[in-house]
Amino acid sequence: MKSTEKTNFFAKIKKAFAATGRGVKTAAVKTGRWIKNHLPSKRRIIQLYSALLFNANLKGFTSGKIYTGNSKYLCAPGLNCYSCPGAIGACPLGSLQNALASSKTRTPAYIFGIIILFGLLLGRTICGFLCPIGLGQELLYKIKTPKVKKSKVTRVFSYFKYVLLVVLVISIPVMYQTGVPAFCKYICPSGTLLGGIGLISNEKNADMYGMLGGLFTWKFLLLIAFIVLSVFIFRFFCRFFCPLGAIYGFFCRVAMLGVKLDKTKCTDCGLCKAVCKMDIRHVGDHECIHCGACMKVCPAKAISWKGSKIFVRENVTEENAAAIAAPVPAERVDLRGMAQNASKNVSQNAVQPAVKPNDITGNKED
Amino acid sequence: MQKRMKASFWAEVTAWALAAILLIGTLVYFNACKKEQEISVYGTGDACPQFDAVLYRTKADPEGGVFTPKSAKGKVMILNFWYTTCGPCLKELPDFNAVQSEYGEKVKIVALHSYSADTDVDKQAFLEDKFPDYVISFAQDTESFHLYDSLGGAGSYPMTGIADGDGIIRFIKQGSITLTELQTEIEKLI
Repeated sequence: MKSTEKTNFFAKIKKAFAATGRGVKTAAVKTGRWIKNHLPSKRRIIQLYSALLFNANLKGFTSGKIYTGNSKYLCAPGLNCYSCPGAIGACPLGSLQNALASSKTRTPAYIFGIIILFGLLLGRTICGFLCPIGLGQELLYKIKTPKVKKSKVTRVFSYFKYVLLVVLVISIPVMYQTGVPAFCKYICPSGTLLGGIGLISNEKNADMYGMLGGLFTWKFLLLIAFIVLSVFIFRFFCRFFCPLGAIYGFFCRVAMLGVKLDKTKCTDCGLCKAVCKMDIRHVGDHECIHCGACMKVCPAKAISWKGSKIFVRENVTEENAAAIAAPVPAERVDLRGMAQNASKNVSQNAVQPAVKPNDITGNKED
Repeated sequence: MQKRMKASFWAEVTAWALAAILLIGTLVYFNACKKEQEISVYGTGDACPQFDAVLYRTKADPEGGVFTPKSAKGKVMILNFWYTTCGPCLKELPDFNAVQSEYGEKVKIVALHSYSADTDVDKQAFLEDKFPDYVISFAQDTESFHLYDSLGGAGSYPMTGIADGDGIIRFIKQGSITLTELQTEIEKLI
């Protein structure tokens, strides 16, 4: 009798272990799957990387001091305040305003040159990939609330940033030559958050509290407004207020990097514009931040990265060499019909392109 | 095609590897290397540190020369830190000039230009252009005696420090100072 009890006892223990093992395995598989589904996109990784790289002076947060070494003569590409304790470079917009404010009759060629260089090389991919304020707004937008969709009204408001550019960034600094960087002084949330709060949050700077007055109150309230509204309105600051985005937008046609639309493949379905959260009229225009969201939904695969042919070459064979040389323009189809039947479009209405440049599982023959 | 796929895969891997090296290198450079020497910070109650500051040639010091705190012994010494493109600094300099005229020999005001800002601006020319009739002294702070940092300056300008006739620091303020405030503090020490 004793031995049977013993066997039963051990059998129960064995079952318990097996069940636990299965439970752990399921949990691990589920976690793995969740992680895989929630992996940050490459663009997000680049945004995080860039925010850390341009604010690498982490010890500045503990010492409460701004870095003043030689690298501060170089501009970071995005809206990264010079006064952030972690900043290793200068803000291009701040540098521009300060240069204009002390320019008198000379043109500040150096800062113009740097901004033009950034514009020509990167254009508004800076907005989509390198700006920490853009990253901040996108993360805020992830908070689950009802959202304000873009409309004709937001498109009109998107021109307000050009007003700020002309008035606060250019006119006031040039007119008042004793150093009034008006956008930095009155509006910029990067300055309030990274510079202002970054510095006074350190107790070593307690004697700076006496400097906080009406101007800080205004800028702080403005920062709160930007933060709160960014939860409901996508990239609220970028779309309506950022003069740096306005400047980089001028380079949209000539910038080396960015998304581009192949008009010969485009079927005018409008899915790209529908999915885009910025106020674009066309893919790649001055409002486009080159995030690539449109690329994923285009049924004709007409949107690609500029310069992508350098990395992924079309597979040229005898059959399709002629087609590559003279691509067949796609049929124009019913716009509304396409948008409504998004999933059925590819098979029913669109003309299949003769060559699929991104098809890397095609002919092996070189 | 497999070859091409492999080539672009390795290109991407190399790009990510180089990016990682750049980031880690930058973090190490700014945080681990180049440890700035700990600067002693003097506050109210401490004796003002000694220094030799080169004076700019102005109405107050036509020959220029060097300013040391010892030469202000017996007077209330007021040190103001500024730089040529600092709007708020320039706005308050007239008040310092007024105070110097008002109190005459009882106070010694020296406006020290920052050593880290406006390094390639000709301050001598700036002073001759903007403040030719000022009776306050203008001097230059340097990285070697870094008076701005020694008095607790952390990057914001202007900053004002006041020491009594025995050279003991009695007042330090970050940010702009009003004429009334200046006069109040001086009255306490005269």
